[in-house]
Amino acid sequence: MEINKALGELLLKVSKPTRYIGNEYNSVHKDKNSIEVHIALAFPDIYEVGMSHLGIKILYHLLNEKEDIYAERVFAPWVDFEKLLREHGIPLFSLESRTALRDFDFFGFTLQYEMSYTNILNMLELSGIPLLSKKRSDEHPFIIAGGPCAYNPEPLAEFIDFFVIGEAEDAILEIIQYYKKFKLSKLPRQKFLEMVSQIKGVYVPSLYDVIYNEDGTIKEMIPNKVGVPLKIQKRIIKDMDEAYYPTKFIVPYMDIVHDRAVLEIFRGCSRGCRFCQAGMIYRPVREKSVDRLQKLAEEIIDSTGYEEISLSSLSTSDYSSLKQLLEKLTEGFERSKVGISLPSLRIDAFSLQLAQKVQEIKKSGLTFAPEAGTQRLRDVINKCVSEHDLLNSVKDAFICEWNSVKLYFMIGLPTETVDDLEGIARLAHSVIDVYREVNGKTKGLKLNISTSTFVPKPFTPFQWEKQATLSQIDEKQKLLKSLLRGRNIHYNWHEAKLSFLEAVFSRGDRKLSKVLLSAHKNGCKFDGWDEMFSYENWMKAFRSEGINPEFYANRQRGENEHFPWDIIDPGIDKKFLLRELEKAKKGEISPDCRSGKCQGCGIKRIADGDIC
Amino acid sequence: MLKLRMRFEKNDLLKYISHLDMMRTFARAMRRANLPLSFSQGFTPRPKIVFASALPVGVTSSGEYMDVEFEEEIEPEDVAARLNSVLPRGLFIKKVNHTQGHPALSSLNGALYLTDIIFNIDISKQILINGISDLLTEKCIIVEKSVRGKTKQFDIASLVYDIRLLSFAKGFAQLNMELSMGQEGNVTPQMVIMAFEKILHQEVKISKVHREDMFIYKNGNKTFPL
Repeated sequence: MEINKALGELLLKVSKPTRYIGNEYNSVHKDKNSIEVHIALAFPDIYEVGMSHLGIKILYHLLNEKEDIYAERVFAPWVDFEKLLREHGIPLFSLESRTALRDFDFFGFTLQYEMSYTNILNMLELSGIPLLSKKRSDEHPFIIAGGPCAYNPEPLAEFIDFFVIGEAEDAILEIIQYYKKFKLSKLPRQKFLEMVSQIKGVYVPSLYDVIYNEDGTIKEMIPNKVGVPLKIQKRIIKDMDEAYYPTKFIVPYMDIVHDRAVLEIFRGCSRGCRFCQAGMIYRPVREKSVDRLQKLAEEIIDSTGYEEISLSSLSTSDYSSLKQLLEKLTEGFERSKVGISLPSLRIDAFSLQLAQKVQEIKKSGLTFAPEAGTQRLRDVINKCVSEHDLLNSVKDAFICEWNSVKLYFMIGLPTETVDDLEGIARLAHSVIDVYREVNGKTKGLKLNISTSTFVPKPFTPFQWEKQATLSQIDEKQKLLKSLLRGRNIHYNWHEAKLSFLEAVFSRGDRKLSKVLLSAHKNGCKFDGWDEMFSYENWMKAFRSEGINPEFYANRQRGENEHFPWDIIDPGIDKKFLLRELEKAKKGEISPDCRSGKCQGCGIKRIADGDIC
Repeated sequence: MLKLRMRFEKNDLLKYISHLDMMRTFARAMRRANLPLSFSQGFTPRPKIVFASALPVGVTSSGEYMDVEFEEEIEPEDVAARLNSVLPRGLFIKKVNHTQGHPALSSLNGALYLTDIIFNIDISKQILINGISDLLTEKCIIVEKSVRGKTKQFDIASLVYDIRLLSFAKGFAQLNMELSMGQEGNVTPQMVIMAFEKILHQEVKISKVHREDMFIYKNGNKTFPL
């Protein structure tokens, strides 16, 4: 094992060698010679980030339960290790068996964030695999991808052989069945791509030609082979209780971002916030039963020894039997002192009582996400939180002796005015007033105000909207900085340039593939990391490829424009999104699907959920 | 309340994990083994586990120690078996016993290391033996150590208890070192080799460091923790 030999010394020279050693408890080791299909599951960021992601864990254990499949993990090496790998000519390798990635059958990436795309290219390069799909030959693995960003796969069209759209648990096994047949047939690589294009949820970009209008927008996308589907409908798991869920999670040695057991309680969200892509693409709402969750929780703690279990979903408070579930879990974990954490909790009197009982929340403080500063704008985005409710919850929290509160907002939302920005400051000062009312003073209060720049996303009602320009965002931030002063207030904002690029790639087309390639050549990687992000290198890439990024980020799209992502069918109808956009502009809210008033989003066309 | 002392090894597979990582790994393994642990009071109860001394990253060991408190009586052999069945490859419990009659872990002041070294230039066994004996008789051995980013000088002469040559081959040697550890001063094999380089007037590369055991060194006598 050449890789093994060389690594011994190199690992002592990197900042965190534990990222690369594998061998964690519950990691799966198989004999490479007694398996049929070898698949690498890649997360295009460092170990600590990738190991905190649930999707990859589900697939890892699901695949490894099959005797003839060996799934291994690989993460992006941090720059210190990358440098050593390049210097010593060591190819990127998998964590479990330390096999070079180029020797795998499949190399699959999860796409959680647009700004990880350059890491995908870097990982392919470190593996010695051609970056462009068309340059690969029969000896190379198939490069596949899935995850939320795959809902607009086009910017990666030149690099990824095929995408899996939606929940991949079933689809991945079907793909592997096809692959076994293909492997025996000795047919050329291209044939396999044609074969998998017949699997529901699989999108093979090379099987489509894109015709553009003169203005650079898309005229149409047409299949270049007979029998290729015109629309790719996402995959959905019907019954969450029946769905596979691992219990023998890998227990990392190092402190990762979310270092705890994860219990997924439901998928989907019924609230219909108009900026939120997750709320649209993960429909319908499907819950796991309390019995199933209780059983899973016990098994997970038994097999991992974790001291904390986190309930995972898009909106924990919306789980219909939350109280019952928490009672059962707290009772079950009383003796073993396992803590329960509740992220994505909507804060109200009920949840505060819960929070006090079950979690170690005092240190981190409470987080509220009103998203916008005025009721008008909250109605526009359909974030149905009133100032009255928010201040009441804050008051309850202060009475329960919390003294650290975080408020999250977005700036640059459609229709936003100066008044909406001032509203953020007004809300902040109201929170301070409430604290004074409860405690008689403001000393001790820590109020964090955080703003991010709104990024219009595909398959949301705002997919037609332009993003505020960088200079507009700059002005908005300046105004907020001047308004959010005082010893209790800490104001942080996200890097707007990053949000700009995110907006470019989230609604981009396949012309952006060459920009990605150029950015990669300019050295762009780990763009989501402040210390690594170079806006200049990105702009250089756009210039050298003759692409105007503002075309994607700051252009108002027409109602009839053909979008790059129109080839994907997430079960959300364009007509519904347009109706929601119209209502947004009038400041009309849409009720939660749970209220029984169906808004006709279209998901019933492809699936039934518990709440829909 | 029951307090048990465990001797364990951390081998090649896990030599890269930090002390903190190892503490977390043991706490989770004990929960997996379903052992009746005692917990600290407060909002985040933690199991009561105390480790002897942090092992530097990159060093393997067959003589690490921890004391663990339990709420109920439990057989030491049983604890070892149950823990070993749920520990990751690379950690192994070698011995478990009651703490009574054994010195406190906090009183340990010495450690025994096996250090493999490589020479660039050929030297004879006799030169090496003479070098070791010179080192042991030096009144003052100054080594540099970086403390919070600043380089400081230390005299380790009184903190090197013993060095012996275990094996010798062309360009290679294995040394047994008994060095001070803990409050009186932490001496690492790296420091000794630095001093050794000065005496031999040549570069000496360390290829492997292994901690074999820890002990209390008093009046020339060694007492072991278990």
